[in-house]
Amino acid sequence: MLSLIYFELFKTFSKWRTYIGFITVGIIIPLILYVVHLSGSNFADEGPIRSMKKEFFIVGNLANGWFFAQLIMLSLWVHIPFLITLVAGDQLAGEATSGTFRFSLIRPISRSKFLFSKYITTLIYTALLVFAIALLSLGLGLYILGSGDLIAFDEGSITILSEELLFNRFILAYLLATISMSVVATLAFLFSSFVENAIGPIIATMAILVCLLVISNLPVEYFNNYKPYLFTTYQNAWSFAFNDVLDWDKITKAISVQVSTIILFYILSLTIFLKKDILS
Amino acid sequence: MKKFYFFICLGFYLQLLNAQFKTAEQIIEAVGKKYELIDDYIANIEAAVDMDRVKVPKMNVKIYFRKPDKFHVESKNFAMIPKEGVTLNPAEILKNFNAQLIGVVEINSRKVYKLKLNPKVIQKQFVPESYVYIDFEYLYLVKLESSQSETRSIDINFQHTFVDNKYYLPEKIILKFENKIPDNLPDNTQRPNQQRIPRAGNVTILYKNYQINSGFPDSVFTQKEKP
Repeated sequence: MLSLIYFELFKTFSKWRTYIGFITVGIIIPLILYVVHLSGSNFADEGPIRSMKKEFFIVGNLANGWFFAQLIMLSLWVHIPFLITLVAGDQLAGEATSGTFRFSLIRPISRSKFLFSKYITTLIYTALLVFAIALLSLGLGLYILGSGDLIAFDEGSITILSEELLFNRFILAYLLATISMSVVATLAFLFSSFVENAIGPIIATMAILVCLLVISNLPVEYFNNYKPYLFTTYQNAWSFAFNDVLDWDKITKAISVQVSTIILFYILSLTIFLKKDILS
Repeated sequence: MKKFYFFICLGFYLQLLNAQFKTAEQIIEAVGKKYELIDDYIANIEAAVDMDRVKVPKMNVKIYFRKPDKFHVESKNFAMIPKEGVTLNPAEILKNFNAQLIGVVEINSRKVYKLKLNPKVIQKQFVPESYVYIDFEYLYLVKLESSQSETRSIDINFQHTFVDNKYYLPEKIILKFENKIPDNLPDNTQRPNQQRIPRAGNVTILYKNYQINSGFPDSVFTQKEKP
């Protein structure tokens, strides 16, 4: 099984499109950081902090690397999912497009093992992309902007987290982000099992993601009954790591819904793939 | 009932006659003279914020003061220190306010002068209403009540300590911010949550390790914070 995963990893990382995500974050993050560095410390002074300055002396380096890394995590709503679908959507459909399915399945392995190895590869790619974002935004951010306490905004309230808490909190945030992104990757993987062209799964995943995000964030009472079961409701679960006191019930619920969705999507992929008439 | 009011007024009048000072200006000048002895001070302060929509860990900062009004806050970590209260220099009150002696009242079983402060320059339509309470015996600031706008007011309670057997300086300040408009009024909801200043709550400040007249360099007030 391990050699199968290794083989799939080798195939995936031999493709040019796998690096599009890494190149994108490798350009965007330093670019944003450069702009933030040029704008000085003002970027953290917007909104509530600016109004608080009327009554309070505000001291300390708020425009620091931690704050920058938190800002970058806002891209986990739509931008990073798109980069993930580029690879996840290609996992099965790519084989069909290039006509290598039958060739791969000639080997004495079961379809389920083949699918599982591809799926693990997708998850490894997803985790690596989140890790790259973490490394770049935190590493470069802390190096250039320095360290300090973190100011976290949550529904109009301000939470200041002490510097000594932040390393663990960010690890938790990136773990939660990896789970959220894995749901998106699994959805793209599911669509990839339907078709023989990678464009379809990418577009379908993004369309569903955007639709569900709208429903999850729309303040309409009609949707309130459905929201707790939508994985997009927990797309920002990483932000729970920056609450003043960690609400483990909320975190556990988010993880439960997301992991359940992952399992459901994977079982559907497996069912479809096992019954699929492979002609290419 | 009339007799009751008569005796209250009489008592109040007698207290004023008995008082050391007859006008608000005399009181503030006397307070100012006490503070004149202090050219500068450094102190460590520990501040705890308990306000709506703000969660901040306890803060430890170093403050530098030089008369008349130079003030600098230094902290390795994030800190938000209320400007009211910590920057208040009683010796400077008469520069900005006309004071009026209201009477002698009791706060925490101590007699205090109650003065009303009217700003000399009115910049807004709203005229802020402020009262200061000054200890009858030792002439230090006990309390300040101020309405900063039609909707917002602040109460500051001071507890003093005798430093170096010479100076009465604050050892604890409790600031209480109040907002008169409830959250659900349309005027307030028009502003996005993130742009509203924290509403009600308390800030408690503890002063420690006063260093008085140490003559630290003036460059402290011009240095920029290091990132």
